[in-house]
Amino acid sequence: MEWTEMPLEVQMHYAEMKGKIPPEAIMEFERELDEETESYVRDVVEALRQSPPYEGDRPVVQ
Amino acid sequence: MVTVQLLSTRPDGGQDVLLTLDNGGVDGSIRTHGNPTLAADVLTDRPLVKGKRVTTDTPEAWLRALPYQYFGSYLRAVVVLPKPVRAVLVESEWDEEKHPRADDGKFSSGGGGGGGASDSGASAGAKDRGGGTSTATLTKIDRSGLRPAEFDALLARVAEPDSGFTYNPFSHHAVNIGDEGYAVAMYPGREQVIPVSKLKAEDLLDYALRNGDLLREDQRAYLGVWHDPVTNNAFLDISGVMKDRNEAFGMGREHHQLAVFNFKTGQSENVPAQKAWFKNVPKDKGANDAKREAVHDDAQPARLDPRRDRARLQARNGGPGTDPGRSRIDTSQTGTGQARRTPLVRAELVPLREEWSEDLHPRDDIGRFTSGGGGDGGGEGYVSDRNGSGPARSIRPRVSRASTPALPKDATFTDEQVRVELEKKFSARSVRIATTKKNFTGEPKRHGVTLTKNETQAVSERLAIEYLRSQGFKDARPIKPSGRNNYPVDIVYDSRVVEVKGGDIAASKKAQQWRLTQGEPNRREKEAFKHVAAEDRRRYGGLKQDRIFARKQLAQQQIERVLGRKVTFETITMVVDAKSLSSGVADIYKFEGLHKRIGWNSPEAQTGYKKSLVYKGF
Repeated sequence: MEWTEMPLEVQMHYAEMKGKIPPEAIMEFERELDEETESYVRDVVEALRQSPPYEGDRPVVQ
Repeated sequence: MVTVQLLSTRPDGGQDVLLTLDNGGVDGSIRTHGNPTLAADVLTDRPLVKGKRVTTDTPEAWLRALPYQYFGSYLRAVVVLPKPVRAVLVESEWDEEKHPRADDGKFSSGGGGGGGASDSGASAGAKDRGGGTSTATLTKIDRSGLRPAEFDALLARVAEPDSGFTYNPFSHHAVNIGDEGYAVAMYPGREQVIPVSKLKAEDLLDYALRNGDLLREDQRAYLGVWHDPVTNNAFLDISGVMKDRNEAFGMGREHHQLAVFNFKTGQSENVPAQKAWFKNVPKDKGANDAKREAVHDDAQPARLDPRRDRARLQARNGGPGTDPGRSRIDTSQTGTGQARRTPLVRAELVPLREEWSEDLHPRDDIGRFTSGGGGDGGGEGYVSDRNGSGPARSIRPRVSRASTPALPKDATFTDEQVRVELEKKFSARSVRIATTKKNFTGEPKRHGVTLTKNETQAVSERLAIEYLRSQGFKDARPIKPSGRNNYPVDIVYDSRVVEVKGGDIAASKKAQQWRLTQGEPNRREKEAFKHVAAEDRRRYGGLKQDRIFARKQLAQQQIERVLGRKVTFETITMVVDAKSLSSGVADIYKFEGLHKRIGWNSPEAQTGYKKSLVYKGF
């Protein structure tokens, strides 16, 4: 994917870095963030499926 | 010198300069531009003018005292500031309800007044011809949230014919072709047309500022710009973007639009004629005419794009100013086609550059960013571990004790690997805890044992679990680490997800904060950092941090969608005072939601404090 194909909001977010940080570096970070987000959602969903909400009396954190 | 101009609007929509006030309003002169009668009408009985001289203290006071001309045209005032500073106008809507009139159309007591200001502001107290009080309000422009650098990039987006964008420069959210959503021209009175050859980034910025009221407050509002390949004009407008098709078409009907733009398909879709409209038409020839007209509309072959076919749409709607539901659009004054509806005024100039706050970026005595400092972006533009400063490094435990976790001395690990190892080690031991009084007093404590950040984090996570279990949540447990760089998720319990952030009580005053975790920079970033100024590295780190935070919030929504139930996210933080590697005291804080930064001494932390534990056994 080329930088110009990145979502506009991403391009805009880093606009002030133009000429300072190469687009490839930013795209690599964004790709990493994409992958981590996917992994994060998967792991948390799996963990929460094994951790259903308390039924009945719920302890109160003090 | 500041010049103020009062413009009168002609019945045909054009505008004339009626008065010019020079010299900043203090004993300035007035030029009536060949219309002394109207000028005299405007200024009669006003305490701000003596002869042809102005006697106010400020141009603002003079502007506040201006009347609202209700006989056929309105008055509009602008402040013209010397170059290179650009005057920016903030237009305020005229609200008839706030300006009552008598039966003859004149303003009654309390009505009328200076130009349709709607929010709070000083009243000049001068009477206008209708007997009302002038109450024009000067609105201060709020530039927060705008990033000036973006506008150069936005300008580049419309350089090519038939190019454009849909973007909210305040929320920094864009809608692209292929996204779910529909665009409707909801604010036709706000359109502006500028030849592309004359379009500057400043024009886009000014337009965003002038329409900041909508772009900030209406989540559906976006700045839409399109380069018309036929006329080479740039069309600027405020588009409403909504995901719900019915809402979009309902809005299209409400605003008399013929088409709605579908981002998913990249095509415009005709808005069907409104059925209710037929009910109001008498069942005679008119009804047939109406029906024919509706059929004619539906049969239009053009799939009109409200962004791209604005002129045609306006023409088919009767043109600007002919719809009683719309305000008159005047394009004569600036030559830029700027759409204007209502009077008034305001110029307030504030430097655009965002301020760097040293308070948020603590440094040590020689100016280096301290642990937890470097602010949004870490001391070197990134944050490598929980408190964040510096990249992955060769692990050299700073604790000179035999009980230091046995890690290979010469190996280089990622922070996540270190965390996993430490967690395994700590989890293998039982921990004894007891409640004690709050340990952290606001001052750093220098003690004999200094934990690394990873060690502090591992201790904090384990203590958080023990704390939750002590509260009755026996299911509190760590989530299996998965090597993610930017997404620490530490604990789940009771359908809740917890991020734990630990801090060492030895941290300097400026470093007393818990911050969002940011991962190690990638190879290309590291290479780029060699040639980039430290300030730019920090700024870049801040931008990355914003992205991580935004993505986390989206991820939360995804998780809830997948599970089909509400999931609560929490943050538990610690100030750890380690007496040894295996014992110490920790103050525990708990907060709802995820956070970018919380200062240890902030009011938020005072509220979030839960209890303190003495621990032993790690």
